[in-house]
Amino acid sequence: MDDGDDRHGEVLHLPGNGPQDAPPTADEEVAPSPRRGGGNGRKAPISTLGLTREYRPGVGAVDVDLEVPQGSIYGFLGPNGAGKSTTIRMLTGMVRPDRGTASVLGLDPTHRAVEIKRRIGVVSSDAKIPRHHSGRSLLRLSAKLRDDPRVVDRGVALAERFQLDLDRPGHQLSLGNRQKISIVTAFAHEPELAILDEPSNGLDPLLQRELERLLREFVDGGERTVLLSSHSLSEVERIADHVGFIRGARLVEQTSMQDMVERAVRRATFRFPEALTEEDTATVLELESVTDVVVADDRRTATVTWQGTAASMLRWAGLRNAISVEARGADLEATFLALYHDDPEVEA
Amino acid sequence: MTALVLDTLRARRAGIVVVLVGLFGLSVMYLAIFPSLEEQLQAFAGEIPEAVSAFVGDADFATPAGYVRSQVYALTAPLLAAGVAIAVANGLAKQERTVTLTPTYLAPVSRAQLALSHLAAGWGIALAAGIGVFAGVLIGAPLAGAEVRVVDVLAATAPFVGFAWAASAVAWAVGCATGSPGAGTGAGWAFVAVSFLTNSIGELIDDVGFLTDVSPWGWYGAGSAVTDGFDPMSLLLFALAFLLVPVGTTAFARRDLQL
Repeated sequence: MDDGDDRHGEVLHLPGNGPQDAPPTADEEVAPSPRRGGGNGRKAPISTLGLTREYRPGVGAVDVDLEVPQGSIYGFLGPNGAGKSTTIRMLTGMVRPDRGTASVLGLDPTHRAVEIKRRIGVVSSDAKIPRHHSGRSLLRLSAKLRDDPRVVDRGVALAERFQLDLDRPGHQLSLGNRQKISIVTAFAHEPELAILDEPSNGLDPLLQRELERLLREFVDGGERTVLLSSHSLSEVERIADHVGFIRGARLVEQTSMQDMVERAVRRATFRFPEALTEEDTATVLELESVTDVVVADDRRTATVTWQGTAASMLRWAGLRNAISVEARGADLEATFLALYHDDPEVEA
Repeated sequence: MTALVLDTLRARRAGIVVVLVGLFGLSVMYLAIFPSLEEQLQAFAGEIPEAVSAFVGDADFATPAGYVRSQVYALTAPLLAAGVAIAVANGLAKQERTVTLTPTYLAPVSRAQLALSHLAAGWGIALAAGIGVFAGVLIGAPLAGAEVRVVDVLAATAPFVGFAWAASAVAWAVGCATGSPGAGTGAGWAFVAVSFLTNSIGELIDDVGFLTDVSPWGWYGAGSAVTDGFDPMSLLLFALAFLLVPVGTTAFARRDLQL
């Protein structure tokens, strides 16, 4: 009954937070810290501090400090089992944290889940549809529970967009169609915040693009926000404004997508008139930004991998009279792998 | 809340109709055949061992009213009603296990509302079973030559509903606390079986006669109100059922959901 109880404060306070973190009263809201809100002075729709639910060492989510700026699409990246779903379950009130604080739209998800659920839309990674429901009947139920009859019409329009047959019974639906129903019901009540856990599971590439368009339209205007959990870098790279990497239950990196791209791993292949010597390759490897060199073609070509600025590496190539260069775009996947370089699962 | 309860009942609408019509039909059928069995039953009644009698509600089934008790209220109907109510109330744990609870959980409803909607549906189907039995006995009793008062049939049927409510509340509360449909169903049926056995043993062995007083099956009375009038002890069934409501909702609100 806790989740419908307004007696509790809006921020979850658990043992270990210290006396300065005494539970606030019901009327208090989360006080945004100076760094919170993505630097635009607005409160972050989602923020967590030391949020922890550890099932066993390294499994779950530990000390997660998440900061999702308003009006953004935040890509929450990590391999399977890294802690993305556990974090989302805590944000939606399904799971109680062991410690730490969480704020969703300024409210504590453990004690104010009903109010939060009224204002958010959620796509769960593996939700099933009850046998007695079709997409249409679920929309009708949602309309009743939200006391908003417009939910059905909006849902029907979204279903057309995603080529979804709303009248097929739940037990006859494929993974992709179940996912479409989840998406349609998550957005039909026009939420302020969308929390999506692997939403493109089972969607074909065309519908994945349609989902990306929907998310872009959703955040246009800067008022509404998306937390997009995914293990697909390419998906996140295409649409996210901010990105957080979770690994081994811990959030290891959180930054803007622009910063991520600037720090991205890049590759270029140079062709030289003469074979490179051992000393040449040793010299380029000594450069701070260079992480790898692969020589081929009788040591006349070198594929250099680097992070950050290219200046010193280009000077190195110029001094050796490079004939040509073939550069590739920022490789976010390689950046991701670099962050996870000692994670056996990712390496596999 | 109403929408949630109606949704849960909608999922079980076929079962509700079958239970209501089935128990009505069963009651009428049992009673309608009494005249043709009366002589044989009277001959048999004098020879029946006490132990067997205890297991059919200790009723004098050679008389029309006793026959109503033994055939309708003593075993088949309450077991059917309790079984269906257990299955429906325990639907919460089943939906959680199969992850089909997610769509309704993500709607703006509290966990308490979500849990209570399933219990209410279970109790609703038990009530439907009670209505089926009540109507069946009222229509079937004259066919059996029994003169029963409406108020006595009502007094016998209310504990019938109460027993199904208590059994389903046990299943529901355990399902709420554990998220395990197996544990919920097991607890519900264990409640039924232990209640029945303790009551029967209490009736057979004087030294443990107190068992009938502490057994929910004893509180139910197996239709004794038809012949003996209303027994206030049967109210304990409703008390037990309602006592489990805060237990289940609190347990469900305080644990992690497996969604």
